[in-house]
Amino acid sequence: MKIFEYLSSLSQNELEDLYQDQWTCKAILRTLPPRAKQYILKMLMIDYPIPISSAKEWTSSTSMQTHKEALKKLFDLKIILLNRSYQQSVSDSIRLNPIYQDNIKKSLADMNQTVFTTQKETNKAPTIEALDAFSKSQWEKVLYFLSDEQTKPSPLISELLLTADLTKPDNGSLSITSEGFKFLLKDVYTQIWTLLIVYLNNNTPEKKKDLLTFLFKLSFLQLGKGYLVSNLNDLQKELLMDLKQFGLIYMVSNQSVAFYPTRLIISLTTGKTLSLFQNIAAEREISQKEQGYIILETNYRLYAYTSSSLQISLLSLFVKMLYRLPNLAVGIITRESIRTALIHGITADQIIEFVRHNAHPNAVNNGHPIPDVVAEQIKLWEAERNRIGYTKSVLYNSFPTTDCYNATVKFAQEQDFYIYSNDSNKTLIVNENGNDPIRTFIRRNFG
Amino acid sequence: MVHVYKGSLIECDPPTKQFVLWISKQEHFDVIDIDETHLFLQGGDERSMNAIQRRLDELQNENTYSVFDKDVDK
Amino acid sequence: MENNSIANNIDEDDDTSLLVIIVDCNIYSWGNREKLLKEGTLNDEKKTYITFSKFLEHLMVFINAYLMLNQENQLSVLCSKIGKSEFLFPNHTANDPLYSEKTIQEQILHKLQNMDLNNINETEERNISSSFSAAMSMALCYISRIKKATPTIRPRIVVFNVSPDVSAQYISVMNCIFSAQKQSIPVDCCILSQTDSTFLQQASHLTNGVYLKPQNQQQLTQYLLSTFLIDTYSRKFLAYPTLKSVDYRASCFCHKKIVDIGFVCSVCLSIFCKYSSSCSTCGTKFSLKIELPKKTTTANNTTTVIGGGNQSATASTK
Repeated sequence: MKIFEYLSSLSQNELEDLYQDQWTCKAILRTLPPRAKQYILKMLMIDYPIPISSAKEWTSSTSMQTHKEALKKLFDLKIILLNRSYQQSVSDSIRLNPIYQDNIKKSLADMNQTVFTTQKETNKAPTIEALDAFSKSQWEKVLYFLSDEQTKPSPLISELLLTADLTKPDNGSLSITSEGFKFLLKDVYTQIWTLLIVYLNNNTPEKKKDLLTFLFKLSFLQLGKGYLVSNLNDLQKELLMDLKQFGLIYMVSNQSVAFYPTRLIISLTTGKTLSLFQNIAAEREISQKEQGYIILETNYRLYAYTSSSLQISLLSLFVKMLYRLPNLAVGIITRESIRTALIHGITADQIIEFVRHNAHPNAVNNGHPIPDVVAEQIKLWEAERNRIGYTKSVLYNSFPTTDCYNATVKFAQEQDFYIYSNDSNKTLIVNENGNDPIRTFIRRNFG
Repeated sequence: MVHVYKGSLIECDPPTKQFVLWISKQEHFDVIDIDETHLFLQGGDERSMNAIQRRLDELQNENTYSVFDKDVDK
Repeated sequence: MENNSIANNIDEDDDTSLLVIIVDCNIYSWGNREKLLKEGTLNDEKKTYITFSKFLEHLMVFINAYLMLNQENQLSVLCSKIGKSEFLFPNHTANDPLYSEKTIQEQILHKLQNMDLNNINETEERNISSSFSAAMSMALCYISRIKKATPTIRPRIVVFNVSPDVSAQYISVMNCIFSAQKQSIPVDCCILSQTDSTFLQQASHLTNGVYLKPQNQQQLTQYLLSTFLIDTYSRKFLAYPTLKSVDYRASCFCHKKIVDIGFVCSVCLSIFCKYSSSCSTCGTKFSLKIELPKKTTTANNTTTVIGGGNQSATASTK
């Protein structure tokens, strides 16, 4: 997940700075896979390091691979610290990062946890549907700009898109790059995080930490409730304005007393759309509207039950559109349309993932979100363009003796330069870096 | 005396390799035949690689029939 | 934007769960314990026993940890007191409109304080048994309701027990256990009393739940955090404490005593310790005469006595 990669790239000091805040620790805990969460809980009350071998006892013996992966994730986030032991008899020991541990313990013992003060119930509060519609329209504005260059986004957004390498300046206006195409086909949380990370990196380190903490705190708010702006500090108020442009929070005007979080920001850290089980009847209807809309048939025809220009323009990246009706767009996947997409830098996997992601519930329920035939064919069309593999290298032939040839091959393999060799022609191909070492080797031994 | 050549190694299936050999005679770049599936392109610069890719794409297009792309091809 | 594969959600790496906690609020058991602790006459093992208020503190930390694990985790708390069971959370009878503004812990404590834990009615007999079967049934009904609304949620029941088993509730408790087993709802049991509870042993064994009797109750939080928070998804690959051997002896339906050898109705399989002419559960009449030859016990303790008619005495013990 994007947020996990971003956090792993921070240094230990930066992470420990972040872990000073309770809400950040809790939010990060929620992003971890279930196994990692359970490991943290097991070690929560232990203040001294425990040997790594005892951690092996927690898991069943058949899932050692996932056990190691979960531990690695925790190491990368510096949640677990490793004490290497240099003695043979004593194994390495692990313990929870004390700062993280303290903060989680504090938050567990805290019975009155409120993130921000809520506003009293008023009639002017927007409904959940209104919030969803707002966040959708805001975010789509960003995507429209990427796919369709005629709409004008705000300066902040266009600057972010430029820095994120999703657009490039092209004769005075901006045009989309191949990274931009890939970006369009990803799921919304990855997209938001990509832009947020660029936004964070544009700020100074202290601001970065405060902004991240604020973002994590926002994910603990309740959908549909308003929160008072007056209790936030100045930096957070500034961030509110920017988040409004992304569609992450809603404010009636810039001077409003309260702000309302949208579903996007609440689901942001976990990456799964929050369903709010408490309000189930309304949920079902909302989620159906936003559910998949694509039906792909085995004759390569694609039917998209949508009237959103954005979604249709996204589809036209790799589908040849045929007809457009009030609630339906019909297209066909052809070799040319896929090749155009491939030439722009989109991969076959991305296309298949995009269709699967947005498949119509009827197709999903019948078990075939995307027919195998079409998926295979898209991959074949991609492979068509990749018939040849190129590797920059150096070739040696006409070795004087077989011994010379064999020795050089062995040397190349040991030094990791080896790419390919042919014994019958006595031809050896190595990496570019290996050119000089191998020349010296040959000259020294057989020169 | 060992001969050294700088360039790029091309790895592909046998028919494609024969095709690349044929192109190389027409487009005038040097290749060294290694075995059935490998060729070495001497001086492997952008120009020759693009040329190979372009000719390959043309070949693919010639040999594909597509009902819905008729208006695009013609 | 992502809810288009509801059918696939169950297999995903998802630990969303619905946890129903059943807290034993039998004031006699807890009161007895306070008295013993005050007297100070306990041996080492019992010195670590905790009082009800301390227990509540541990429980609140446990609830906090559970809610922290996953944004969509749902919770319900039931208390089984004498004569009746009630929902502590969610509170369906709250009159106060601002009630939902309080945190979960506040709501639970508020309800407990305002509740009448002693349901003694002057005209009824003194009853000191907590209504565990009622609590289990209510928990299962609640889970059913939530499952109808969100089919992909994974439910779980955790029981905190201080009172002894009530043999009168044997049939209803076993029915609840089988129902939980059928719906794959694990029943985890945390035994805070001195004696093991056979009902709960059977419950956790049949439903693949955790069964734990903490040795040091003052460190209850540690036990709770490391074993009782393991959700249904994680149980596939994480180790948790279970029982090796369980006492599966049945109790008779007429006197609720545990029987090794007894009489079984061949129609409805209800168990009796004494011969009677008709079955009290299904009303089948047994033939009048029955010969009772000497009971011989074989190596594995099975005895078969074949009489006339529909009643045969067969019992086996594990």
